[in-house]
Parts: sequence; C-alpha cells; structure tokens
Amino acid sequence: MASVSIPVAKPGLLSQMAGWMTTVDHKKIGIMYMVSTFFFFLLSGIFALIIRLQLMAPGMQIVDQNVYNELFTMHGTGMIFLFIIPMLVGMGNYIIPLQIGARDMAFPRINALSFWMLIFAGVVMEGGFLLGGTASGAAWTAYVPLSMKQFSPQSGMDIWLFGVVLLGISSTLGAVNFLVTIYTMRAPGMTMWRIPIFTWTMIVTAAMVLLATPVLTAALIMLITDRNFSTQFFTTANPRLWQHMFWFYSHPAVYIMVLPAMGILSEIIPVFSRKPLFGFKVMVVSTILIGVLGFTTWVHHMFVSGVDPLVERFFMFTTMVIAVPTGVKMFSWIATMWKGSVSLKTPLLMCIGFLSTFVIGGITGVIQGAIPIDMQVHNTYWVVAHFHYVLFGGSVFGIFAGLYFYLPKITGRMLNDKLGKVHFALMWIGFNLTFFPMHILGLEGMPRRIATYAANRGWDLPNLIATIGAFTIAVSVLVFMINFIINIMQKKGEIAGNDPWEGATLEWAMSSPPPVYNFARTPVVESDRPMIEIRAKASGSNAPGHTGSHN
Amino acid sequence: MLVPPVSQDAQVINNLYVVLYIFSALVFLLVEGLLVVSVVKFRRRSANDAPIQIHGHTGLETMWTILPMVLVAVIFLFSVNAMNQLQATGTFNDPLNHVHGINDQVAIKRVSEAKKVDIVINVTARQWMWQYKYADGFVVNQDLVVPENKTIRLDIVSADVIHAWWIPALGGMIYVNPGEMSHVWFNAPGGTYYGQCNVFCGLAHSQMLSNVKVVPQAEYDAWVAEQKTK
Repeated sequence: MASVSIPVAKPGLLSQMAGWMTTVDHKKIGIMYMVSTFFFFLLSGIFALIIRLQLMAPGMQIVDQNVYNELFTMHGTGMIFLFIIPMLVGMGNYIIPLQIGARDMAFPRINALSFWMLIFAGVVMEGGFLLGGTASGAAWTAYVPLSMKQFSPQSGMDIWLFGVVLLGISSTLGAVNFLVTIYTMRAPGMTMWRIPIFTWTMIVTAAMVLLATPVLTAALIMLITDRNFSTQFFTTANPRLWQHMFWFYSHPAVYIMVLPAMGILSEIIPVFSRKPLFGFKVMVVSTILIGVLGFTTWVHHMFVSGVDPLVERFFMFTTMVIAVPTGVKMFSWIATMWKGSVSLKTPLLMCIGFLSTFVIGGITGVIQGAIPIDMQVHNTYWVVAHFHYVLFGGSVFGIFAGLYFYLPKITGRMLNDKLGKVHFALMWIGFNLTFFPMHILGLEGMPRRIATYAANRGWDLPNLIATIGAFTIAVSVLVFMINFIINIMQKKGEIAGNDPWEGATLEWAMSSPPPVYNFARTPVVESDRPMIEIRAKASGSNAPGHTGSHN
Repeated sequence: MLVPPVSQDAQVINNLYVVLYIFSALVFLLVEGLLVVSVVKFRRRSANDAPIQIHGHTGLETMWTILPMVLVAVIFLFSVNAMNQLQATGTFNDPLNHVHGINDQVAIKRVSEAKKVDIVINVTARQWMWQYKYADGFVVNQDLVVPENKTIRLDIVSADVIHAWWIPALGGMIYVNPGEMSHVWFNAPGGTYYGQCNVFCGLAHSQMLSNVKVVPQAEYDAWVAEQKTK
C-alpha cells in the first residue's frame, strides 16, 4: 500500500483514554468488550478455584458456607452474564460489520451505550460482593421464595438483581442493533445465502435475545418490587411462576451462548481444511431450528418441581428432538474436514476441543432429558458436569478458537502457535479432569451447591481429581496470557498481514488492524466466499489459498 | 447408576439408564472415531494441498437428519415406558406426587385411596432439617426410621422455602414446595440409605441430611416404644 507519512503528534494518555471512553467505533467497542469480559472471566475463574479448593477433600473450610454460597452464585452469573455472552457479543461487534462490508453498526451510540451499561452492571454485581461481602446467596436461579426478603434480607440480593436487570437491557439493545445492522447494511450482492455463517448465527442469537431476555428482565423487576414494595407477584400459592419465567429466558440463554461459538467453528473449520463448509444451507437451517426449538424446552428444568406428568412428556420430547439439528452440525463439521487438508494450527485445535467435548454435553443432555433419569440426576453434580461440557467444552473452546483466529486481524500480530498448542493441550486435559469425574459424583448422589460433604459418602477421589483439573485449566489460561503479553502487547509476534489464514470472508481483505473507516470503497460480493475470488484475482490462479504466508 | 438401587422405582430408573448408556456409548464412539480419522488421515501434508471443493451431499445430510430422529424417537419411547412403569407399580411421576394446596381435601382423599400403605409419616422440611411426625404423635429430628419391606407414605410439606426429598438408593426425587403437599411412597429392604436436601435452600443447605434407617419390624417396634416414653 502506498503511504504518505504525515507527522502527527502522538496523543497523550489522557486524551487516548478519552478517545476510548467516547468512541462509537464498533472495532474499539468490540475490543473493549473483549478485554473487559476477559477480566470478568479471570475473576469468575478465581471464584471457581476457591470453590474447587473447598471441595478438594471432605469437611474442608477454606471459606465459610455463607461466602461459599455467594461464590458459586457469583461464579455462575459472572461466567454467563459477564464473560461468555458479552465476549461473543464483543467478537460479533468487531467482526460482523467487517464480514458484511459495512462501515459500522447501524446505531453506533446505542452500541456504546450497551457496552457501558454492561460495565456498569458488572461493577454493580461484583461490587456488591467484593466490597460489602453481601452478594446474592440464593444461587443464580434465585428461586422464590428463597430469594424473597424474608429469607434473603441482605441488600446484596437487591444489588445483584439490579445488576442483572441492567445486563438484560444492555443485551436487548445490542440484539436490536445486530439485527438492524445485518438486515440493512450488507454490502451489495450479499444475498441471504451469501451471509457468512458467523453472521447467520448472530442473527439467530440476536432474535433469541430479543424474545427471551425481556421476560427475565420483567421477572427480575417483579422480584425487586416484591422484595421492596410488597407487590406479591410471586406468592407461595404458585411456587412455579418464577421458575417458568426464569427458565423461559435461561434455557434459550444456553443457545445464546453456544450458537455464536458454533458460528466461529463454522468459519474456522473450512478455512483450516481448505474446503467450503459442508452443507452451508443445512447449517443455516439447523441454526434457525435450534433457535426455535430452544424456546420449547424450558420445563425440562422443572421435571421434579410438580408440573403435570402429561405436560412433562411434551417437554421431554422437545428436549430430545433439539439434539437432531445439533447432531446435523456435528456431522457437517466433520464432513468439512473429511478429505480436506486439515492444518492443525491452534484455532483448529480449539475447534477440535469443542467438537470432542461438546458431543458429551449433547449426549448427557438427551439422557437427562428422559424424565425418569432426571428424577435421579436433577440438581446433582451430573448436571454440573453436563452444562460445563456444553458451556466450557462448547462456548469457551469456541471463544478461544475465535481469539486465536481473529486476534491477528484485530491487533496485526500473530500469537505464538507453539504456546497456543500448550494452552490447548493443558486446557483440554484440565477440562476433562475437572468435569468428567463430576458425572460420577452426580450418579453417586452428590448434590450441587453444597459447601462441604462428609467423608463417608465415597465422593473424595473424584473431587480431588476435579480440583487438580481446575488448577490445570488455570495454568493453561496463564499460558494464553503470557502468549498475549509477549506477542501482542509487546509486539514480539510475527506481523500478521491482511490474510494470515487464507480466510474466506471480507474481513481478510483489509489490513490488520483494519482502518477506522473499514472499507474505503464498499465491496461488491459475488459469492459466499468472496476472498476466494479476491485471492484468485490477486495471484492470477484458481487454486484456493497460496496467498497466505503462514500456512 | 452407581448407587445400587434397592427399591422398585430405583430399579426402573436404573434399567432405563443402562439402555440409554448403551445408545450413548455407540453415538460417542461413532462421533469421536470420525473426528479422530478426519484429523489424522486428512491432516495437511504439504503447503500446496488443494483438496476437491465439496459443498455438500443431499443424501448424507438426509441420512444424518433421519437416523438421529429415529434414535431420539426410540429413546423417547423407552423413557415413556419407564414413566408408565413408575406410575403403575411405583410411586413417582404421578400427579398425586404434588397436591397443589395443602387443604385440598378431595385431593388428599385421592392420595389416601391411591395405594395401600402400612405406615404414613408426616414430614416437615424447614431450613435446615427434616422433621418426622409419626402416627403415635412423637416427632424426631434425626434420621427417619421405618420397618423393612413395608409400604411407607411420606406426606411432606415445607415450612419455608423449596426443598427436595431425595434418597438416591430409593430412586426419584421430588420438590417440596411451600403451600403444597408432596407425596412419596417406598418399600425398602433393611439398611441405611443416605440422602440430603437437593434444592439449594440457603445458608446451611449442605447440612440438611435426610438419612433413612430401614430396620426389622421388631427393632422398629422397640424403637417406637422408646420414642413414646421420651
């Protein structure tokens, strides 16, 4: 690129900070999302380590049971509301306008508002706990009547509820922004079937957020007024009303957390196999089906709550059926690699981490969807194992795949692939050491959310292994941070160039990092993999690839 | 199930688990096997590899939609069958497990006529203990003691928040909601069976134990006599 150097005074720290704080650029907002949610990930991870220390052996007392109850509540809500969901939103924020050839999000100021509300909500939620020591001690499910003033009088409960309300509003605003952006701002030529698959998953995710989150927000506000103004929405005459409203959001939330990660996989696997995504349309349709069916399964969280058995059968069926579109995705990813040229770089290894572990979460989901089984494993460590296989094995491996894939684009520097492989190996081993034994604990009758246990129950060994696994995961995250600090913050990594991976979509056509205005001229899209043509034109050959310098 | 089932209910659940476990193992091996093969066999050997560009295959896509649907339908039918067994011969998964409204006399009458029972015990769950009130009028706050091979019905209410009754070896758990009466029936051989509250219920949730001691009739009679004199 020809460049003219114009001497510009480097802005001071204060004006740089002011620049970040007032920005409406989707890329800067995306980076702020990713950085801040990573800190919430570390904080919630530290909570998890304390929990694992406490459960390492029977009768341990690292923290007292009051603090323990707050810790698992804050670990769960921190990971879900302040890490997985907003981290994926941040990645979408950065990548999606680039993928669809837009200059920014449709509503840049609302975009900034969503981000700052998230930060404010996170500070409120964690602040109530870290400063006052009075967080919500009613678990993330906050079941009524335990979450009522009578049984949870501490103000930390109100502070926590208020924080989650703010998150819900932030999330809903973000969903509207994504939908409008993708609907109205696509580059010319980008028809429905040429929308990149990651963008497709964000469409479905945003639609789910728009339909589900307001229900939780309403329920939370009703609970706040019940607690403080005696409004009596949730009385003991109907102990299931809160559960219905809570799970009507919180079950779709699982798909809100996993669909964008699936979208990231669907971008990475074809690139690292040098093949198109197997069955693109089927992948899109299965994403939509998961989105629709995701709204029909919430009662499976209430199979022992006292719902009529006839109603339960319907929800048992829908719960099992949702495994079908998920299975279609699994087979399509494997078929994408089949007969390809599979490059075992860190982004692909993280995808393998997703595929190899998520399948277990999917299978256990069907098993516990069977009501008689659920009557034996509900609320036990089996369930803890199941949803960590979905949310860590699925979402978190997907997030790290996305970070290794997109950080070169975002920062202009490559992460070290050897350190990346060490990170992957330690995290995969640590993950399975931590969560596989929890299946056994659940079958042996260990309930979740207990601060300690007696020595006579035979739960000692699986718990010890799980604790060792948790610290292995912590080490793997440290390896990632060292990799990031050396190669990106200290700029020691290789220069990425525009297209280090032989990418398929428009973001790889621009410089790394992209210029503030994104595209100098709005691109015209002629296929579902525009980069293939752009590369072919550049090199005068039809073979896929060859332009990347790092493969 | 790793907790050995001792009641008929637990046995039904255990049988279903074994069936689903076999299906799951097959699916697991298939997927992981394909994954390993695709990564090992098709790994990049040269920087110039240019694989054939396959966009999809309708036949394959149809196959891996239909076959999982069939599998899911089979699993669903096995599960419904187990539910019917629990409802017919056992005690769980019956609308009578929950009577919505403690003072619903019609429902309570239906419960009392539903199954022939030998002993009824009134249980109150409260933060953080289980209290058992026997027909003879005494109340115990420690372990539940019942005679072996007799059909027992527990009428459980909550005095405060939601709790859950669950004895893993006896199978099946049930929420105990405030304002409702939950019913559990069981018939167990002698032994001590561990259990504890299974819904997070506040500060000392982890100490809300519900162990069941099933003893020979003579020992039970002696225990009852001793309790009455207290």
